Amino acid sequence: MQNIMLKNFGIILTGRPYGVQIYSELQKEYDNATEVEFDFSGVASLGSSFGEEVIVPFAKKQGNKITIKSAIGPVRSCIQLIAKDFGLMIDFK
Amino acid sequence: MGDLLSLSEAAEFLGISRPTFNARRLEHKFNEIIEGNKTLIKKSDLLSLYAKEQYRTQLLNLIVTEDDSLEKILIDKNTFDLRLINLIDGYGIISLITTAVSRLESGESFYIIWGDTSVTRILKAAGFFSELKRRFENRVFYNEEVSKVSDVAKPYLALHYLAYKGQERKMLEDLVPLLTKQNFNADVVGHLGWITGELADNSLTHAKGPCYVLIGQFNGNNSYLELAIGDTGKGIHGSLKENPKYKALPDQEAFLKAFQPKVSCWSDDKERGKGLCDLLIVAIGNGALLRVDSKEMGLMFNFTNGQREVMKRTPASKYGGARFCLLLIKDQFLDITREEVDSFIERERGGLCKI
Repeated sequence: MQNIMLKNFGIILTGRPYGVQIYSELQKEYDNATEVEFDFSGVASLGSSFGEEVIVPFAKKQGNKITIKSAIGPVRSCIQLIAKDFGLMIDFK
Repeated sequence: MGDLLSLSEAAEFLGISRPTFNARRLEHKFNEIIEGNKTLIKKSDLLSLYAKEQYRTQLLNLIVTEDDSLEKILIDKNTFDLRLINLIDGYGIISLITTAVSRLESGESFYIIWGDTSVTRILKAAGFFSELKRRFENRVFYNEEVSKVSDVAKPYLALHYLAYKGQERKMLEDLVPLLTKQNFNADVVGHLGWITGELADNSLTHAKGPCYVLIGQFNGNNSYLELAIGDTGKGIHGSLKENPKYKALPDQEAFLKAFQPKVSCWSDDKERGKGLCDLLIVAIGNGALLRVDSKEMGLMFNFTNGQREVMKRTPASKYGGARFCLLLIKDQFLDITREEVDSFIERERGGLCKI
């Protein structure tokens, strides 16, 4: 399982174009990974536009499932909305 | 240079008779410009005299809960008398700046009369004057140098001008430690960042231009955060109606519908239309107050004390595009679903759009 620390891209993760950019970078690095999990330690805010561009494509490659670690309240709430919008199963740790 | 006025126009602007104005000319020795057989005076030279000649009581509350219009402080189409404002908040500040910028972006000059009032001090602290100077220095005129405005404690963190996507992230990253130091908890700060990011992204995408963001922090018996965002675009309903699916909707209906999930100016296959819905999700979950203007229309969403209602309001200004002011009142955020927002809007549309 590859752990991706999203804080490396900032503590405020918002904006669709930024999400597209980060996904593009992550895809190159983790293209061959069988499974990834996202670690939100230190992330203060997540926007649903960003989340859609990053979380959803990775989750879809993993049978619509993904593990999310250390998400604080507002980040978790945002991810739950995204999960419902796209039919994802989220394992919050 | 600003506008040139004839002697009659100058007297009319000052609200005094022509003989009285002639007496004032002798006292003040204006720089008069002769063009043919006309004597002209720069409007900017009249502002300090205006401030002395005209004094009216403060009559305008430019705040989120009221319907006062900026028209009341317009002496003429491009002159504000700020002394007429009694109370102002983030909604008022954003309304003022987007109105002034709309005028200035059209190439006009702008004139501002100010007095040493609490409103002027708040505007200075929020960065209103410095922003106008930064963008339009040669076309904004005052009755007196605004550097003379007294300083005041800053409830508002400075007015941020966001010209391109991504700037809001830098602004928020600088803000988070400041707000945390002020004992705002991670939940409030995190939700503020989420919504600011969505609304700024919306503005920069749909308004196709810059937006202004203002964040206020109020500590007291009830601490709250105030988020105000405004742009000079085509408004929420104008953007939505770019989608052929919604083109035929009346403006008021399009305005309210834009808050429903999966409703967007983009085609359905893009799966957009979540930003404004997210705003209501956060506002309902927090029990917040939310004011939204779209051009000449306004709405106020009241989710305080368990209520869920939306009312039509008269916007402070018919200029500018979209304006938002969200008061995050409590520390707790309940999880609200998109379906709840959808049902709420459907229920309210029926009543609101018939008025």
